Amino acid sequence: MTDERQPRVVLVDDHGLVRSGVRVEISGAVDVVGEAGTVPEAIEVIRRTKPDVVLLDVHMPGGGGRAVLETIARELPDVRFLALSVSDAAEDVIAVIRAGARGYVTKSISGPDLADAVRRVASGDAVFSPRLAGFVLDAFSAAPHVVDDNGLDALSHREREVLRLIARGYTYREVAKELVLSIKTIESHVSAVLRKLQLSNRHELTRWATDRRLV
Amino acid sequence: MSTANPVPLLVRPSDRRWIAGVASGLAAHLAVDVVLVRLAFVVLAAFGTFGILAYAALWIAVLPVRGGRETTAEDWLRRVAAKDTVLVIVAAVVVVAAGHSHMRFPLPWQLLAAAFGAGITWRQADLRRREFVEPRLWSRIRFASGALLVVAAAVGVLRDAASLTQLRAGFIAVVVVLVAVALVTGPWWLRTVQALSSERGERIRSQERAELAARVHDSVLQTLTLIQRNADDPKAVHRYARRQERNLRELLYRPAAATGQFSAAIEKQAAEVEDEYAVTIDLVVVGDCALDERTTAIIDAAREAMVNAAKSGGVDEFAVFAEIEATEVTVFVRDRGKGFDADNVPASRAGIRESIVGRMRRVGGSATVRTAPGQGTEVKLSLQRQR
Repeated sequence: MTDERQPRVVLVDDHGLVRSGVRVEISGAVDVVGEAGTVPEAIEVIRRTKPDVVLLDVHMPGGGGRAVLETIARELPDVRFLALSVSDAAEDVIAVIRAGARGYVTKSISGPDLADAVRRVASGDAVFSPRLAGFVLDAFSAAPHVVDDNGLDALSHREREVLRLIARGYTYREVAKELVLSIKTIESHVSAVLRKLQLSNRHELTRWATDRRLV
Repeated sequence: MSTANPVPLLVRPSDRRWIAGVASGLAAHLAVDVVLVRLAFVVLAAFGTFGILAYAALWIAVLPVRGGRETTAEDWLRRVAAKDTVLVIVAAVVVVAAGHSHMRFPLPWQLLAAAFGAGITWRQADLRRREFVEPRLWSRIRFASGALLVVAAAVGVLRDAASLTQLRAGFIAVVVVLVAVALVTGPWWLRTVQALSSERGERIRSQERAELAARVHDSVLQTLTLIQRNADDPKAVHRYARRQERNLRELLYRPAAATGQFSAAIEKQAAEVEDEYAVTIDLVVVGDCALDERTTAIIDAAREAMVNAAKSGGVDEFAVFAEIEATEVTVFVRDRGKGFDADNVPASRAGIRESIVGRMRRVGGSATVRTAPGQGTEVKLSLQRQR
C-alpha cells in the first residue's frame, strides 16, 4: 500500500505458544522485531524498537492491552496498535479501541488476512472484523440519537451500510464493489467510524457495554 | 504456612491445642516451649484472674488456622456442646429456678456456671469466624442458653452480695454505662459489621470463581480426552474443539442465555449446524427481540440456509449476520464457497430453496438468494416487524 518495506511488528501476548504461532503465520509478510509476554515487557520492547504496528492481546495479567495502550499510545503516536484476541467480551474490545487501538481481529483470523490487517493498520487505516462491526452497530443503535454539535454521537447512513456489509463477512474490496465506491472511500468511512468510537462520549456506549456484562 | 516465615505469625493452630490453641500459637511465635507457656497461663490464673483474662483476650484477638486432624479438647467440647444444648438449657432453667426459690448455691458453682455459659457463647463467635456452618436456629438456641446461664449466675451472685434496693441502683448504673459505651463505640461496631459483610461478599465471589474454574476444567478435560481418542478424524476433532469453544465463550462472556429471545435462538441453531456439519459459523447478532411465530419462521429459514451453506458451499467457515431493528428483522447467510448457477438449479437444491423462500413468504417476509458459480452464496431473509 505504502512503500514495499515490510511493516515492523511487535507481538504482545502472554501465551508464548500464541506468539510463536502468529510469528510463523505472518513472518513472510511482515518483519517481527520483538515479542513481549507481560505489560512492562511490552512497554520496554515498544519503547526500544519503535515498531510500525503492535499486535496486542486484549487479555493479559496486569491490566491487559489496555494498560499498554494507556501508558504508551500518547508517548509514541507513530506506533499503531491492532488488538488481537479470543475475547468475545464487547466491553473489553470497545475499551481497547477507545484506548487507542486501530482495530480488532480475532485470533482465528488466517495468516494472510492478519498480515493484510497489519499492513492496513501500518498505513493508518482501521481494521474492523465482522464482530467488531456488529458491536459498533449495536452500540450506536442502542437508543434514539440526540446528535450533538460535533456529530460524534451517531453514524451516518453510509457508515452504517459499510459496517453492515463488514458484519456480513464482506472484505473492504467486496464492500467497495457492493456500494460502487472506491476502496479508499470505504477505508475513510471505517476510519471515521473508529474516530467516533474513540472520541464519542455518548453515554450509551459505556452503558451498553456494561449492560452486556450484566448477568 | 508458619514454617515459611523466620518468625511464625501469631495464630491459633487447631491441630496442636488443648483449649483454643492460644498457648501453642504463642509458643511458636515466641519460639518458647509450649509447656512453659501453658505453665505460665496456669500460674497466672491461679494467682488471680489475669491468666484467664489474657487467655480470653488472645482467643478473641488471634485468628485461628486449620491444620491436621482435630482430636483435641475443643473438638471434644464441640461435639458435646452440639449434642448437649438441651442439657445446657436445663442447667439454665435449674439456675433460674433455684434463684426464684431462694435456694442458695455456693459461689464457686455459680462462677462455674457463668464460665460455662460464657464459654458456649464465645465459642459460637469463634466457630463462625472459621466458617463453621450450622443451622441458624440451632446456633441461636445455643447462644441464648449460654447467655441465660451467665445472666442467671450473675443474678445469683448479686443476690448473695446485696440487698434488693442496692441491686436496683446498681442495675440502673449498669444500664447507663452500657448506653454510654454503645454511643461511644457505635461507629466502630458499625464499621466492623460492614467490613464483615463485605468480606462475606468477597468470599461468595471467590467461591463462585472456584466453581466456575471447576466446571471449565472438567469440560475441557473431557474434550481433550475425546480429541485424543479421535485424533485421526479431523472432522470429529474440529467438532469437539468448536463445541468446547462455544461452551467456554458462553460461560465467560455471555450474559445468562435469554431464552425466548431472538439472539439466543439463532445462536442455538448455528451451534447445532456447527456440530452437525463440523463447520465454523461466524455469527454476529445486532439488537434483539422476543420470539414469536414470525420471528421463529425466519430463524428456521436461516437454519435451512446455514445447512445449505455447510453442505453444499464446500467451505468450512461462513458468516451469519442478523440485525433486529425497530421495523425490520434481517438475516444474511453468506459463504465464499462454490456458489451455483441460479438459473440452472438441481432439483435437490430447489427443494431447499423452496423451504427457505416459501417459509418466508408464508409469514409475509421475503428471501433472496445471490449466487453465481465460484462466487459464493448469500441468502438474505427479511421480515417487517408488526408495529
